[in-house]
Amino acid sequence: MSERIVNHLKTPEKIFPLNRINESQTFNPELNIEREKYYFSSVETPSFRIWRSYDSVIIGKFLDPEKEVNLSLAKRLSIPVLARPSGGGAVFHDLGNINYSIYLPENILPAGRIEDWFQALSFPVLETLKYFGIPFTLEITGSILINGFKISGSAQAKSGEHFIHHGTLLVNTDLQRLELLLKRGGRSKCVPVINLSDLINDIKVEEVIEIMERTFQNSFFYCKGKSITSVIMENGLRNSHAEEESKRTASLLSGGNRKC
Amino acid sequence: MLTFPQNLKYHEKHMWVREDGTTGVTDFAQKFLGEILEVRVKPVGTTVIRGNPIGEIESFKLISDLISPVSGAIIKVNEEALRKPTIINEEPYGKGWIAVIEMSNPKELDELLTSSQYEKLTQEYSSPNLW
Repeated sequence: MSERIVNHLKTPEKIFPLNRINESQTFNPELNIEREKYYFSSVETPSFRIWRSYDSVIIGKFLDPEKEVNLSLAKRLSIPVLARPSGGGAVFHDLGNINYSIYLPENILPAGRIEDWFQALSFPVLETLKYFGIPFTLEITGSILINGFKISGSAQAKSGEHFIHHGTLLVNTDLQRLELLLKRGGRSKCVPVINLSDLINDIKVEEVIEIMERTFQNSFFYCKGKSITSVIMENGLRNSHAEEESKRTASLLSGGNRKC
Repeated sequence: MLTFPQNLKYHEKHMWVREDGTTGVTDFAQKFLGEILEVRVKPVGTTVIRGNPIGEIESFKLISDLISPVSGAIIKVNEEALRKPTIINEEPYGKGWIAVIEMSNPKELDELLTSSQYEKLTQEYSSPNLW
């Protein structure tokens, strides 16, 4: 048995909060993806960041950009196509889309199977949607759907002692641009997408970022022996104006945008 | 029912290796990963070190390292598994082998787990934090 596993079993009861990465803000897509790779390979305590990028297409590490992206349009619009270190399909980023990343040392991965990791680590989006009173469904691959429309996706990578889970939340992304840039023939699934702004009147990206930030402040990993659980202190997230917020939530009518 | 063939040696990171240096992922690993979508292996000729990555594997939307169970040089890669990774799910110890490593130190085999030791490891710790 390895020393690592033995040491891990001896770990007493512990609580690991998620620390915000100390960084200067950038909307530069290349720099943001470089930072993702760097933090993934170097962060040693549970950490997170919330970030946005100017228009860019970000594809799973193993994807063929030819198959996933309308490259000639991307070139014409000077939109960079970049590979992230994790799996999954292609996503379109602009300032209307919020990205979050969680970096964990492998011995603080929540218990369970891969689908449980996706569920446990999707809390920034799940709790934000709960806050706004929006019903959702979470798929085993981390896609979050509202009435059948995808609003969030996530992906993961694990290398050496390091682990990353990162995801998106569409708030007021240019969905037309997204549709034109992403091809549906490759690995990326053919799903209709929706913005949070289609569901909540007058929602601002900054407002959503603030709520998401609070979900991180109110969560931690509880570790006893080999059992790791991610815990959300829901009380800390309660919105004193919950009723007011729910009034702002538009009824979930049919509509939205089909990607194919 | 998971299988742990007795004629193989096992690395705790869920790789098996045969005496001739053929290696692949264990039945436990393929079950844990679910449908394998993509496998990448370092090219033939690459020197690998025991416990370090020999390649990468994707399932769900997770990409994780494949760990080399022994040190040596990759002399063969299973191109069929790269083209159709689900054969790893179907036959992890057969057609789904990953690579052949020419071992630089065959004594490393003695330091790996036996099938019963590895089986015990997977039972004791189940999946959490083990992958």
